[in-house]
Amino acid sequence: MSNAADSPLENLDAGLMDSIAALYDVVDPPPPSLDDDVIFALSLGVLDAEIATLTEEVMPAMRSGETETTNTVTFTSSALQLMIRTVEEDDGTLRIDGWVTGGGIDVAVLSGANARWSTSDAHGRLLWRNVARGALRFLLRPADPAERPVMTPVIEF
Amino acid sequence: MSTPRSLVDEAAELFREFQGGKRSQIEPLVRLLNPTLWHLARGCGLERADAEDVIQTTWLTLVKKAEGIRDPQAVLAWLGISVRREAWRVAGERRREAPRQDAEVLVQVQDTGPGPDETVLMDESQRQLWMHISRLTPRCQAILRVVSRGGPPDYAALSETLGIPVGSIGPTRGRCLAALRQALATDPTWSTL
Repeated sequence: MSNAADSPLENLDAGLMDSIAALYDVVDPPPPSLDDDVIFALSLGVLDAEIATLTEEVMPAMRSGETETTNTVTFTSSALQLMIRTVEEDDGTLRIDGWVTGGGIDVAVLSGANARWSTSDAHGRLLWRNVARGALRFLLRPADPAERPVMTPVIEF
Repeated sequence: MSTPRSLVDEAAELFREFQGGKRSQIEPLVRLLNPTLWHLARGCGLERADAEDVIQTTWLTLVKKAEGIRDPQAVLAWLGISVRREAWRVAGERRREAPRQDAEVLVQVQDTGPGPDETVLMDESQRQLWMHISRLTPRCQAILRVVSRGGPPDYAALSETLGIPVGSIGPTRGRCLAALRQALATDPTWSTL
């Protein structure tokens, strides 16, 4: 243990360590929304939520002569499947159509610290309008309270 | 100016209050520790989107298991170990998925290195420091990245989050710093330190 590199804690160059910390905050800073997203998730009571997996994606398809793009994503959990289709509206916001395996399921589209809830109809249909583009995720609350809520990963729309 | 408090102590106090029923204290605790957890997750090689998910999952698990954590002083180590374990699990999944690139398309794939935007934000001494740090081993980079988040009283907890035996964090960190100092010392343009 007589290696010259084994400097005791007290001798650590605190200035150099501070420079390293500051450098990494420039090089690879945490996303600005990280804290709020975590706090929001905690406040939603999504404890025990199962994280759904992204099972299918169809990339945005540009239609000729139009600026409208569509984007289809499917999430799967052990008990539920959620398909999401987004269409850009004239004002640049999104119309989001959803289909979930079952009626009466509350589904929220989460954007930062905002939650907009919709309840699936008898055919499992969901609709949100004028949703701002950005990083979105979905939270599903099954009709049976004994079943676990489901959270999807964040997807950039 | 008061001396800065250690991350471990500050986190322990907030977590103790949280356990005692002041549930809103989770918020300052998240803000206090997220930068450290972020750099730990990224140091484990996670992409940005995965790092966010892992950190969120870790906090949800902490709140769920809060009653079982007897020693509030251990909350930083607990979170860090949880992030690292989850990071390994996700990294393993990603390796298995690797041939299926399509699942990654919408995820912003980003290297841990600075892009053009970040380079602009750096001043001259930061650019030099980055050049020398990026030549260290990935292990050393990950260690310095995380250990630089706290002061000496936090090193034991941070070493646990890194999976380095507490007894060897000194020599390990020392070797990484020595390599960095050596590189800086032989750089005639380096004058900051």
